[in-house]
Amino acid sequence: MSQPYAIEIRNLHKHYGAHHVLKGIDLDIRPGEVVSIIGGSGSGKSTLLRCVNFLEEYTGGEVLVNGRMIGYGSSVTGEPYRLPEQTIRESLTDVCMVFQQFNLWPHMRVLDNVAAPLRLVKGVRKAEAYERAQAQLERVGMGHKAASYPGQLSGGQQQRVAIARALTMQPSIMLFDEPTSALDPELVGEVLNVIRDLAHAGMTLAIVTHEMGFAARVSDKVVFLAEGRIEEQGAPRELFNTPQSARLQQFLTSWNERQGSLAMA
Amino acid sequence: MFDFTAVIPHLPQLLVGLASTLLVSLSAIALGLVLGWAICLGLTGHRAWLRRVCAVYVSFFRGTPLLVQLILVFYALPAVGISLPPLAAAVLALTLNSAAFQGEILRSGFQMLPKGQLEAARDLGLSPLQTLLHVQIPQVLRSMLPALTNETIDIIKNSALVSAVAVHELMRTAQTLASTTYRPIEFFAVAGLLYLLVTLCTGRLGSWLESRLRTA
Repeated sequence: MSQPYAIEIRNLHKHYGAHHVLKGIDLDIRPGEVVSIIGGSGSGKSTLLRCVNFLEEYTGGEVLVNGRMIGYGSSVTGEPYRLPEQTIRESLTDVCMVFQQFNLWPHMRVLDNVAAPLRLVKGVRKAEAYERAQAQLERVGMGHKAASYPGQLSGGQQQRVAIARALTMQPSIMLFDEPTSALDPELVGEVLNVIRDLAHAGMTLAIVTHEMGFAARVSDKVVFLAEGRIEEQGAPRELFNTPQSARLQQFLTSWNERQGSLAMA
Repeated sequence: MFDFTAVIPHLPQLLVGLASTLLVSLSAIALGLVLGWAICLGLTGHRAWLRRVCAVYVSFFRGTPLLVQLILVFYALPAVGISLPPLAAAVLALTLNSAAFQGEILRSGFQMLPKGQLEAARDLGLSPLQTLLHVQIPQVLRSMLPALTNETIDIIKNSALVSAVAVHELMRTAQTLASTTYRPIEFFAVAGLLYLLVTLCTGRLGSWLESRLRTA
């Protein structure tokens, strides 16, 4: 049974103590849709993404993935309660995240990084796990580095391995949390190319990014966050060419200026 | 002036003493790792009172002389009705002491791991136990190895103190032989050499393990 939405976010709130980070976010992402989330630092865009796979426990509202509520259930009286850890894990098997800092496990070879979750979580035999891991490494152009350790790779290569590791779990939804922000500029392209291929292959992607050009080219929808609210959202062409809100105009102007000064240098 | 030939007939006794030094020290290191693990869990756990208890434990065993701890275990336990043979009491005292240090070593090892590695594990669906076994422990053991080598060397040297509670390990044997032969310099020098030999080997073993476990 297919759900109309891959991700549904309803009136999402997140507090850190007294600090109100997300102030009522509503966002729907359809299966196969590619959504970029942009905004200044501290706007809550990473927090929003991390609420989807419950790395952050949201404090109000709802997050549904493929129609299933994440993190909380409701009791007979309608009171929400936190689900057991195992139930939460099971409800998130369709979602994988790629992190800014790659987060590979440095004590394992590249091939083991990719194969380990398959063996541990899905109970796949060693030989088959290695075979499937190798196939995903080839897909991101990292097949030749299977025997290396993460510390021997460049940032861009590590990020591609991290993408392969996520892909091996066969999620239908991938979350990218600033996947190129920790990379040297010349390594950004190789990672963006891999993400673009996933988008073309029809995966559902939610991407928090500072790469406006990439967001414009690859996204079906761009969401602009400011101070914990969605300030503006729409097709990339409209959003980037005719921004409505003053905040987005300001954000895009300062971004263009920075690009301009880079081009001059 | 010095006559080291006087030591030669007694070498077997010294080696027996050395064997019991190693038995006491290595048992204390192994048991201390188990207890240290528990202390590390307490120190990093969610329960405030347990954190407090573990912190007090560590402060006590780090902050008082080992000789005091030994004598407390050796004399205070019988006073409350628990009597242990000297060897067991010595192992217990050294274990309690080493656990405090190993608990701290483990704690710093766990805290050095970047949080992101654990988030990735959780995101990919690993259970907390799988994360512990496959992501955390292999890295913590590797990072604690140099400190663990030091701690083993410390315990081997400190085990000389258990001679004070009538355990016939290397130091005690040397003392006895020194006083019966009137050759203290020779016997203590040889005992010192034996300690040095063992601690050097421990150091080399530690370096070898480190180099084997090292990755780029």
